[in-house]
Amino acid sequence: MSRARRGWVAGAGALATLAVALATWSTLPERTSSGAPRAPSAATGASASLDSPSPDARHTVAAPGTAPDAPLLDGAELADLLARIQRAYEAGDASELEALLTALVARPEQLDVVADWLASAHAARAPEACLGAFVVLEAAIGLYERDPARFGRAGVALVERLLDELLVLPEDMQARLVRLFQRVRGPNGPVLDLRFLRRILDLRAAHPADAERFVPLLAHVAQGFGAAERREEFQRLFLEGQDDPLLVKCALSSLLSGAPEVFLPLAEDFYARSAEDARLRSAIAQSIAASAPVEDATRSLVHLADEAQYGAFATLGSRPSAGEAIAREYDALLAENANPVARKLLVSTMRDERAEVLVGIAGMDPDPMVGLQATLTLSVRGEMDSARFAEVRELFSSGGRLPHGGALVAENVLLHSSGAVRDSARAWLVEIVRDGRATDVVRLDAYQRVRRWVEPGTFRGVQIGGRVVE
Amino acid sequence: MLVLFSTLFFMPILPLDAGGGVGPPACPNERACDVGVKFEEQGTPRTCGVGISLFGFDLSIGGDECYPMRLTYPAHQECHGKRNVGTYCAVEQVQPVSVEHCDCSRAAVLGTGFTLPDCVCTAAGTLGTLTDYKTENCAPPPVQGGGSSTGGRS
Repeated sequence: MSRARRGWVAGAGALATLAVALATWSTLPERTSSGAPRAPSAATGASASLDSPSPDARHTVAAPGTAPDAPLLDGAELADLLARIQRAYEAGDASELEALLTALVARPEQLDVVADWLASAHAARAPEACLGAFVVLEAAIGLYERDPARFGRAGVALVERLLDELLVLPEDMQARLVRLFQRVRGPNGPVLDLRFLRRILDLRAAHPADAERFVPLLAHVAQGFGAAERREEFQRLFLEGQDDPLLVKCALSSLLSGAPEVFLPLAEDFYARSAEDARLRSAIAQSIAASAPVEDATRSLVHLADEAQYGAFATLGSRPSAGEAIAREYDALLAENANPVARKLLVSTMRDERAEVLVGIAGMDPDPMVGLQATLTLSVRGEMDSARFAEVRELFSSGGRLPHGGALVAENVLLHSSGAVRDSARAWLVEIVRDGRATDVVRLDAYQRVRRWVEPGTFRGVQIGGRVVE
Repeated sequence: MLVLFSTLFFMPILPLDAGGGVGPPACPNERACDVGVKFEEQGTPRTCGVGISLFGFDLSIGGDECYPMRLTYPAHQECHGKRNVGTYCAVEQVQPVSVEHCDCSRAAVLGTGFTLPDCVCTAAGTLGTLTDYKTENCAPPPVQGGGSSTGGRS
């Protein structure tokens, strides 16, 4: 049964169950966790709509509990239901979860009661129900964002309320709520977007001692940035939060996409001054890689080249049209035999380059570490054919261009290739282990990489550094 | 001992500025600095949640964000110009930057019989390399029987 179909059938069952449940909530019958679909009940008056799940039919479903005069769940009854929701979540029982959640999320005012309960002392005494409350909040925010025709601004109001109350919650709940905000998504991406920037900044300003608690909430706020009038706010963020990597990344990403000519030199200067803060450097490099115009970003990252920025270079390499800019920069550096670290990092991004080009770089670049990088890029990206493998193997042979790193390449091939090539890679590693001319550490390293791929006893009697390895 | 070696990929390389083995022309009075292990997540994340449908809308509930790729930079030493009289910063070895591929899976919660959606990563090999530095004495130590490395870590 398709996912959509299952959802509608389960929804029908949910309505049948909940029509009864809301009347006498405390006697709500336990359901099995089988998730078996139940027949729609005429009591819900919704079966016709549920049987034809067209977009138009969505809003004809009359969910139980939506009547304005129906009592809202509170106290022990609410806690019981929240605990059941958490159990259904832990069991991965989607049908049960759908059934239980439908009753609560159908009326936004019920979510206010859930939020009240969460902020009360009762929540701390009922950990299972407390976790269930977060499941309900997440479902409600996601649903309200997707269905504004039915729920209006209920999602925005709920998010604003929860933001305002964030600091009231105990620390563990704060962390849980922050994670919820970071992942909850609407139809157009993360819910916590630019609409909430002003509020989050105001909250940070109002609670300076706890300002850092709001920083993770800004992770997605930068997405969709475009309005020029917001730039000042990001500029302020950048200036205020220069010691917080996430804040810097968030603000800088927006500033670099809006005004790279102004902020790229600032970012580079900031990077140079942050030599001992690896997280901050990563945040700056990632912002440049992701947000500055591709040509500028490539030049800038080459200028900053640092072996700890493979991730930033990978981000750059994943951008459309980055391949040409990267190839141009590499060629220019190679022509001058300049900046081998930058060349190495540029080559690490060439995952989509033709195999013969990468083998060519491995055989031609004057720096052996760049050559090794080319073979790593080639071998880590997927299956390698036997002809290329033979060429690579030759580069690492005695008297070959690449004196170090054969075991790393062989292991990559072992992980990503199959058949005869895979067997050859395993044999290569075994050869390194047995090679008495190699250093002990190189042989031991190869042994650690290959031993789970060979039969026990393969190295019986082999000595490394005076010790028998098996 | 073997386990210790498994985390490192040693490649002896001549010291920087060693001048062909005759020692640096002038002592830079610099030492190497520790850099801790670093993990870096890459790509567009997905959420490892329980998929449900409410009022016809598909939602994912719970679970953490799961990035498709995770890089691990091993702990090492770098040279940032930290002043230290009588020493210089030298290349010691090259270490691998490893990569893992990650995806959502259901992981068992011990002792409960439950499984929760989780991001599970598997080793995918070596993406690149980084250089590990060390601190060396500019002049050989006066006492015999020891190497020239100070072994000092910042």
